[in-house]
Amino acid sequence: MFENADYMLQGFMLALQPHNLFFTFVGCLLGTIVGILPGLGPTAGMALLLPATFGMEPASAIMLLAGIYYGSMYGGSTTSILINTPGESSSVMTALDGYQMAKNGRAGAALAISAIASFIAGTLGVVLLSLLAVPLASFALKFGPAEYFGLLLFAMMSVSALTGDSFAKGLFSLLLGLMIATVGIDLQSGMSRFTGGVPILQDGIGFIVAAVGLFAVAEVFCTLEALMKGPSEIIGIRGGLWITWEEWRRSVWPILRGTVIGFVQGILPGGGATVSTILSYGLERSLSKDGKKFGSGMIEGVAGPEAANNASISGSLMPLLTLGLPGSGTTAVLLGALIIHGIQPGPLMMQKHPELVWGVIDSMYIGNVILFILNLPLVALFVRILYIPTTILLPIVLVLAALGVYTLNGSVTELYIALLFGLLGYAFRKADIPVAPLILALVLGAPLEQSFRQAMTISGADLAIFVKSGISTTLIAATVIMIVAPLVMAKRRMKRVE
Amino acid sequence: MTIVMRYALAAISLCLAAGYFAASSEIAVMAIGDPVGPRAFPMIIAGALAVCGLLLAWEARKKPVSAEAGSDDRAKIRGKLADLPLVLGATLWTGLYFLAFELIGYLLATAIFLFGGIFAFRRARWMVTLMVAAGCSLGFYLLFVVFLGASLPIGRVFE
Repeated sequence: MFENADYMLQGFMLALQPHNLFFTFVGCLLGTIVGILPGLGPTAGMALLLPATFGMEPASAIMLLAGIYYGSMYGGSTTSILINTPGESSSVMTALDGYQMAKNGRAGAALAISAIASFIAGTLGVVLLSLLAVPLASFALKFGPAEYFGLLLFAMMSVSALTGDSFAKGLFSLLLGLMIATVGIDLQSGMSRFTGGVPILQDGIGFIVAAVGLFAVAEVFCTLEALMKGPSEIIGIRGGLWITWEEWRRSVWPILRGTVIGFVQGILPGGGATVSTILSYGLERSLSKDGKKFGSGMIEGVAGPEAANNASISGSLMPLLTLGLPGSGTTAVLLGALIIHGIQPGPLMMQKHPELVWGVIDSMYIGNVILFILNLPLVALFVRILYIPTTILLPIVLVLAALGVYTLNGSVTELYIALLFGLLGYAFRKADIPVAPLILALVLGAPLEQSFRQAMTISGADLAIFVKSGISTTLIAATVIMIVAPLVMAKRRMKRVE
Repeated sequence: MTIVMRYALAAISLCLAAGYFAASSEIAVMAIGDPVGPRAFPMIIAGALAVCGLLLAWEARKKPVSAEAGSDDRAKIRGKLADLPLVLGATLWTGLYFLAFELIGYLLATAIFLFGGIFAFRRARWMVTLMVAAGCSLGFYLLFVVFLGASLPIGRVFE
């Protein structure tokens, strides 16, 4: 325990270094801007900025990217409240009552409670992360190749089953990602696979190229379509940016409940911030004496979901930092960033790189303070961003995407690959196919195959190795449940309809 | 998702499975090495894709079919594809930008791309558009080349 307190202090020393403070601040600022801009979510923002972090130390790069991640949660609520257009999917529930509060002349109060709830939940979430990370990391020491294979398979199946409205579509997205992940030279045998003689494909399809295409370029295409439906009205902020004592009293318990819901939901693969906000909103509506008034400007309907979406970030970072396991598209991009910076993620990451892990966790304490300061008194400044015409922003995002991809390897071919992924991401959105399983498979496909082949090498091609230990048996069983349960539920739903 | 789209996705999944399986069979395998080899994992994925295709077809088959549902589906597909020409136009313009990137250099290609992209929606204020295009092009050059130390093309025609 004292050793971990020592690591935590070392983490603070790393996070408080001037250049790391600067990068945390830049990440939070960019995250807030990314959250405010409709159509450009945290995943796209992180994918766009990932190439720019190449010259940085790994800890600084992850602090900056993590800052964008949780900063976007603060910023996303601004557009939900002022223009009824969520900055990203986890701010959808905030729009239900937040926009109504703004229409009732309480925009300042809505923005204030959003920032306060985000700060409290974000900070409490990091405290929970600090307390629970070490026991989970100790448990991770028991993982060998068979257990790691089971864990990765469970994570991928969970995300496929729990995102979107159809397990088959999620599975299709996952398998397409695994297919793409096998392109390139097989590391164990040195054999070329699916390269078609194209030299640039020998190293496989770059994760950043795919992420920029699937998120940034595809978002531009989707936002272009939304633009045709006409501009949104922006409600001005009248009065002060504060809440009454009564509003604060009504918000305390929703914030605390939202924090717990968000943190727990964030840990689960496929859970994510969006699901946690829906659960929080539903809970507050059912617990409230004025449940029927939800949707007309209830402050509990803003406080709970905003707390949930911020706490879910800390929850989602826990399996990533302790087990090397991303549970969503956004944490998959963070995992990709770790790999690009030479950090091998996995169950031993906390043992091998304690300074980096604790540095990132401790930077989140600082980041939440920075975001509270940025978002409460300075929110009116950020609102000005909403007045920049989208028709100017969209081509600029495409240029940034092109620059990010080109500066990787100086290859125009990769620009076209990113554009193709952009069209694929656009087609996925039109067909309601989730993108998160695909990006997860791109990042985890190689470790999945490697751990499978390592386990088979150890066991001499005996599949029984995957059910030898309690951990791998449990994970394989959980994976089977993740596959079968959605199919059984779908069949029951269809029987009810008939 | 409409029933037609589900069946189309099922067909795509089955075709991908077949093609991927065939391509996996072409992968060379060494006599020595790990017991699984480089072919096994792709073949497992191909099998899973085939199962996925059947699952998608099963989901589509179970949806209620009626004359109303059929016309609803057609209307939904038309709605989803209504703005496709706009997206294809944006794709083409971006593709041309990438083509010009190394040919005429980053600065000129980006300024033209931004001017065209913004002007397509804001025709009245072409002078402002020109300034934004040139300013952003130069601004990103300073950010990426001067500040981040990246390398951007000058243009083959100017070398």
